[in-house]
Amino acid sequence: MSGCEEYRELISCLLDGELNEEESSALAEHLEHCGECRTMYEAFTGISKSISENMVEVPEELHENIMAAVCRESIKNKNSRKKLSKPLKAILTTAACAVIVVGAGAAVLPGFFRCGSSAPENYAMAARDTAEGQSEECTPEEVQLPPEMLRKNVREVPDEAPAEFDLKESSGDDTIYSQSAPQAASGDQSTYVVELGFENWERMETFLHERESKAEIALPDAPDYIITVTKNSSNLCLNAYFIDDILYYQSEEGQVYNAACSAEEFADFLDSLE
Amino acid sequence: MTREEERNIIRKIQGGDVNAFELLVTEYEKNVYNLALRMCKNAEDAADMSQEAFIKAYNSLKSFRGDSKFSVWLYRIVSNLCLDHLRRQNRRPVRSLSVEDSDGETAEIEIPDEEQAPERLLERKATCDAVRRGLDELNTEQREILLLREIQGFSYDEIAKVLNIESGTVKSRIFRARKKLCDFLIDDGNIPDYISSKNREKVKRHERV
Repeated sequence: MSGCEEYRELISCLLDGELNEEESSALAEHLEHCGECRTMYEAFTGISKSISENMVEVPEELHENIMAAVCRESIKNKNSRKKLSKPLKAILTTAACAVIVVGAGAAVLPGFFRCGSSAPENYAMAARDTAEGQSEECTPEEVQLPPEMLRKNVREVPDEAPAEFDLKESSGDDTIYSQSAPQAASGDQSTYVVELGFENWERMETFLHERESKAEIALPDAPDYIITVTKNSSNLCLNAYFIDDILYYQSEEGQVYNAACSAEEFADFLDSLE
Repeated sequence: MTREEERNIIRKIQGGDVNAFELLVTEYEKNVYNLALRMCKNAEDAADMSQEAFIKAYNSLKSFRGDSKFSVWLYRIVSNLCLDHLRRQNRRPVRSLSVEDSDGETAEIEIPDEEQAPERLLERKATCDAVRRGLDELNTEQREILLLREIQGFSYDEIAKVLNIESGTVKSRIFRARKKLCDFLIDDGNIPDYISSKNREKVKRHERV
């Protein structure tokens, strides 16, 4: 009765294997001469058995439905991935100035701002736009690039470019490059779209963080290159400005960071991600 | 499935192998479905919850670090889904029977002879049915924690991780859930009382205070 209070909760623990040797033997001894506690122990055991025996089989369609839904999800991710045959660095060197847009999948990460009208038409997210069922489109939100920047971001396509830059379907590979359509140009910068998968996006973040420090300066007006990184299936993007072998970018809060990294180095890095 | 096998499968899935995910589905679907079934109390919702849980798991698998068992991570998803679902449906947690119980003036329940063999005391089909009804009568938290323990076989520490509560809370909540379920079964006439009727009255009055 009253002495049993302390043993009651332990009975539950014993059933679940949560008692140490000492506690187990103490309780076992008590159970030997206490009928009421023993009955409780048996009741708990019986309940436990009942619940597991009460388990039902999964309804027939459920397994199929789950797998069908999961396959749909994976196709959603894959459709947006297409790949250029040439490495990014080669693109860089053939173009006078390049604006390369790189994307990656998944959630918004701090330190990078959202893609919005910062992506002008010629940042043709060709791969992404044609992807089926893209749940998150790049919606025009904040303007990330000053207007004069946008006008300059016109692609100059090397003559042989169209043949080399075919969009290829790539399975399992999560780096996508695509080239935007040229626009009436005054400037001499080129735009490319590259998309990275989630893990590669993280590797890129690490790459930048290893080389960067906060800058007290503004973003350069006339960079040699601009590489815009966007995230597959999200409205996240990073604009990296290159001038004199330094990369500049602006975080979501407007803080400008710089990293000791030339456009070539960055392109090398992106190429290595495959 | 060993922890090592699980890790390999997950690595494959993270690398893009959808078929590998099916191995996880096959491994856990029965338990997930049964947990959802007892939580949501109907088969249709349970199927929906199960499907949603696996889809969510697949999509977030990239952020799974492997610090805990995959099952602990998966059941956290299932638990949150079911709780959200129940909340949305505005189901108020059902008061446990022992609180609702009428006062001591009700007729005494026949208490079977304590000497009866334990196996007989829980006559299978009737009791399974009664246990299921009893589970439905528990409040959401108690039902959930008992299911996590009985269906999935999680340790108290693992349950603590799934539900984000203290281990001590797990211990007492499981005990109270079992005790209430027992009280229900006693009233239902399915198991012998574990204390004599006289003392039970005393204890009940004391609890109500």
